[in-house]
Amino acid sequence: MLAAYFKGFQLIWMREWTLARANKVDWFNALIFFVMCISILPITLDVQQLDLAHIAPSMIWIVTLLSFMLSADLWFKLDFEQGYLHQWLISPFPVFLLVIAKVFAHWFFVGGGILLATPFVAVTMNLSISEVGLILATLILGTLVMAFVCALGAALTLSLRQAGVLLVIISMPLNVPVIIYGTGLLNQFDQGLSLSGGFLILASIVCATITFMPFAIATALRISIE
Amino acid sequence: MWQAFKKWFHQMGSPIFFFQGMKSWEFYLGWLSFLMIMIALLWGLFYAPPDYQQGDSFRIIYIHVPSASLAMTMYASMAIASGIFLVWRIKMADMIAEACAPIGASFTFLALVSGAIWGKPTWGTWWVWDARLTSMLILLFLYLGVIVLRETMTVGFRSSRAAALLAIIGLINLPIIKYSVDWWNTLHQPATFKMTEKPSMPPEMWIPLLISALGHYLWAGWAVIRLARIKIINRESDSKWFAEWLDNRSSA
Repeated sequence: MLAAYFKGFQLIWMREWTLARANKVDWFNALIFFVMCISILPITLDVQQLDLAHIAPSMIWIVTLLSFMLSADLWFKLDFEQGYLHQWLISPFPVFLLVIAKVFAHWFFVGGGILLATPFVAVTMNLSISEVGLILATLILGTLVMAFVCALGAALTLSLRQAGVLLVIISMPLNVPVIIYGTGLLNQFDQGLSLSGGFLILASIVCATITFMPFAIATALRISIE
Repeated sequence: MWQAFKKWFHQMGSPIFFFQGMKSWEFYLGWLSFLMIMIALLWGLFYAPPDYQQGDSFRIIYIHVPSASLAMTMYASMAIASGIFLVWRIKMADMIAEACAPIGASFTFLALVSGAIWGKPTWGTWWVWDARLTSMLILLFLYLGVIVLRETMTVGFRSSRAAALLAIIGLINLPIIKYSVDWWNTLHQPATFKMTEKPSMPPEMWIPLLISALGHYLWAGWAVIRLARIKIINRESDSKWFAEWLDNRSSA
């Protein structure tokens, strides 16, 4: 039983991996968006007067969230149109398991690209090495939550032709806790406070999200497909 | 007594019974809430003594506190009705949930606006990024998400279920959002702005507040019933009982 479930998980993972390698555009667009958006922000600011390093972490976090929300629109769309998701519902595997595999795969590609680009972006913002490390560590946890919440938005708006803005409206308020704790950790670091408490809270949000969100996403998929 | 209540409660799950049975409720709730709000506002605005610190500006409390309380109550009601709809597929619960959303969003908006108007003379600013204000703002965003999702989806049954699921997830998230905002706020600005600690209110102040809150709650009940009855007309306009009701109405 468990071995079969693992097999199903593995199959979805392999499929997403192959697809992501074939259509690089899907996750590459999110990466380009991230870099462009981050670079355009300092242009609007008075960088001579302002301490860019002070606001850079929040900028990186918010733009990461935006890239996730933008790319999530496509996560289920093609599979839905081609009837692949209908097969999920009649397959012997529990849907939430397949959801976990799929969202993890998208998190890996979109989040991975952003995490790789972050050090380079951070250098242009005068961030120190330790701060970059901390941003990366919080982003690894934060992007996991973002991926699942945005996947919920995508699943709920699946039957719509144009989901873009609606997806943002739905997922933004649900992402508030993870953003607060993620960026809060960086502020705590600035003030020289202990980080373990903040990290534990962030990790517990991740655990709760991964535990409960797949069921919500599976229900949302059922609603959109039935 | 209990049996009669149970029977009545079950009947209210049906649009026909709700539409006809709630007509008198709508009438009485409407007038009762109107009277109570009027009494409370007249009492609060003209007879209650001014606050020793805030003077007359505190009187907005008679609008602000009931709307803030209703903003959260309506969200909970919406989510509970949504849960009932998702589990038992009762159409009436969906219509109640649909009716709750705009009313709750309006109360949230009213609480924010009245709070801003109150904040200007007492805090010296329209808005502070205080934990309570921020969580109220996010509550408004949650409401808007549910409303917009329902309005955008064109397939009726699907939009109801999607909005219901989002409402429930929002309710589960609400305490987490609340805690996170509290945490964020205490980290950033340690109690620069706090509601001026009032000494325990004298009865002349809190009795009208109580009446006002009760009146607002009754008004919300009236509004939910009224909106739900309008939804019934929208959705059941093709059914036989509705045509009969319309005939009786026009002939009478």
